[in-house]
Amino acid sequence: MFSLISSLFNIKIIIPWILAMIFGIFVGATPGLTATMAVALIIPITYYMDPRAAFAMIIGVSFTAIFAGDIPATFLRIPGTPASGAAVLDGFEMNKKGKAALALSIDLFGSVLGGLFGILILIFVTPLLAQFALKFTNFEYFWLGVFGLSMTAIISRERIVNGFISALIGLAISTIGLDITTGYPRFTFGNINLIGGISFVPVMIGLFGLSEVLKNISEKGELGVPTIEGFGKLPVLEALKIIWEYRLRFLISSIIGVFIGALPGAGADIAAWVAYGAAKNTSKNKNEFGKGHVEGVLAPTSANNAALGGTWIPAFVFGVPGDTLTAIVLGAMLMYGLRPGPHIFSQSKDLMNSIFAIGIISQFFLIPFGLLGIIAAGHLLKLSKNIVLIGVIFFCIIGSFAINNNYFDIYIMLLAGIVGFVLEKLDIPLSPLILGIILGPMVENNLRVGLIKTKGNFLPFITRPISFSIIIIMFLILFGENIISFILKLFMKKNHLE
Amino acid sequence: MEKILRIVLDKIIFGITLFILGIFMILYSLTFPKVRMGEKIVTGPSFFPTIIGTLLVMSGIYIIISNLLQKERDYKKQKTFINTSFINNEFFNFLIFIFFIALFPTLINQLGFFIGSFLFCVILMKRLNVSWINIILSSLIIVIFTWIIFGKIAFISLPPGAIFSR
Repeated sequence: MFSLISSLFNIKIIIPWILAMIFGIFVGATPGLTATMAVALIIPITYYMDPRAAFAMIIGVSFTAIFAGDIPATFLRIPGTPASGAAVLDGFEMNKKGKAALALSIDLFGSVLGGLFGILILIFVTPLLAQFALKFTNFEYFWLGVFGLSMTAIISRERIVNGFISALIGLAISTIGLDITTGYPRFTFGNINLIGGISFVPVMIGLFGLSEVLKNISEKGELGVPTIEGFGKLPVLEALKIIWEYRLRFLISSIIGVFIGALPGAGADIAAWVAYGAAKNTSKNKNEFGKGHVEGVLAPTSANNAALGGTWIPAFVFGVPGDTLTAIVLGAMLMYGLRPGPHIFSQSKDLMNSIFAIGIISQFFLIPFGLLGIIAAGHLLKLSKNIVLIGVIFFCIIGSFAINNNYFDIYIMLLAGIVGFVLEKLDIPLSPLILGIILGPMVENNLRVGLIKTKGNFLPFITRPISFSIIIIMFLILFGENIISFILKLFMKKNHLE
Repeated sequence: MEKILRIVLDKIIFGITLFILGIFMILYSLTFPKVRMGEKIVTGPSFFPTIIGTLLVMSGIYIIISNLLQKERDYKKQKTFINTSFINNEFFNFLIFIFFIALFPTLINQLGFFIGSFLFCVILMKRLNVSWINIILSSLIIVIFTWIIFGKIAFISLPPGAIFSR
């Protein structure tokens, strides 16, 4: 084992590894550039490299890009990657209170520890989890989507109806494009740009990023002040103390991350939202969520990095990618002679062990690169606000364009920005809308395919054991607190009467 | 009374918008083809949009009725969207920014990425009263940095400009 690890500290592996991680910070922190894009760009470079160097670059860039998405999410309310959408909720609020450095320190160490957790689970639990993940069919995926949507009720607890309406708008948007079952174009009005549906990233950039900019420029107040003040040393020890204080929250969120990551097609962004919703509903400080509470930062950040480890589980064991990023990596694995499947651990034992070691070491490398990324972004944002706002608008525009090299996405981003601005004025939360767009296809497709399989009978959706378990878990998360207080009241009444 | 009407108006307009959107989704979905398996009609492309449309209609009606039935003391707790000083300098900033963002694709298509983007940043920064030195420096840095990240590192194809392509 020691010789395996020491063989990784070879200059031909270390240098590309470090460069890839720095690249990951840039890409993740830039709205419009995703972790998937970062991996796709890295792969051609790795063609002629030692497979261990190649996997070091791929794994390194994935973890840093997913973490780095939290940086603009916290500073500017623009998620750098889709997986950082949930980080906006409390991270940005902490920034408004002058605690951006603390929020990002929690993000960084939550990501490192979450990533470590995911890799360790990958190493020890892979065969068991993969078997369980394979039992998920359309019925279970439908309820998983509904479960994700039910998080909107938790995220917008004080305004449940408004949250529900926001999710409905997101679900409506998700129906635009080709119907996946029949290939029929819905709500495209003959526009070829809408055939593929509404691209999610421009909507996210517009809703969270541009709407915030429009809000700033349309309200009276000083624009010439710095965007953030007093950004000094990073409170690393304080962040670690907070993570230790909320270690149970971290553990639960990481477990949620690995579990959802292991489900093919789910991925880190869904894991982050579900972890946030679960944290909000089960926390003693639920009223502080959405106002800059540390648990609201810790939960999604640990889940999204833990999910990366989870996505590799079905990829390694069955050749079924957990998300788009892993799908690209699977292609790279075939290139290096790895054959994903049950025998991968016996046929390519040394390389698999190297990959696991790279995964663990990458988490420790994330610490210095993450700290540098945070400090660089923090100093950049000491510029006056009106310059930063223009820079943000510009990045919103180019970031939206970069996804599909299509100007139409700029108009989508603009429309989403205006809609986001108006919805916030009407006290309609934006997060459920994003959840509706992400989960709409999963809910619809699995519902329809399931109904086709059962010839219109909805009963199997409820009677299958895993489906039923998901329904019970959802019910308990949503109403458990009310049920428990009702039972306690009854109990106390009974005792009082006796 | 005027303030109450303003508070109610924005929510009622929103409710009406949801209602119209829902009705549109339901009616438009009726034009989607039915899917058959043998003799039986199964869930087709209109299934999900019809459900969402119906829920939107119900939500719209709920918003309209709940706001009309609100008591005066509840109105006073709410924020107004439309306020008396809506038409002001900040509102014009809002309109100008939206206009230039919409114009941006045409700008860079005609003038190229560098010149179009530089002009875009200069105009908007001037609108926000940034000093000329800061405008020039910041715009240059933003454009060059973006070109490096997106054009060179991410290999995104940025337009050279129609006037330079002739």
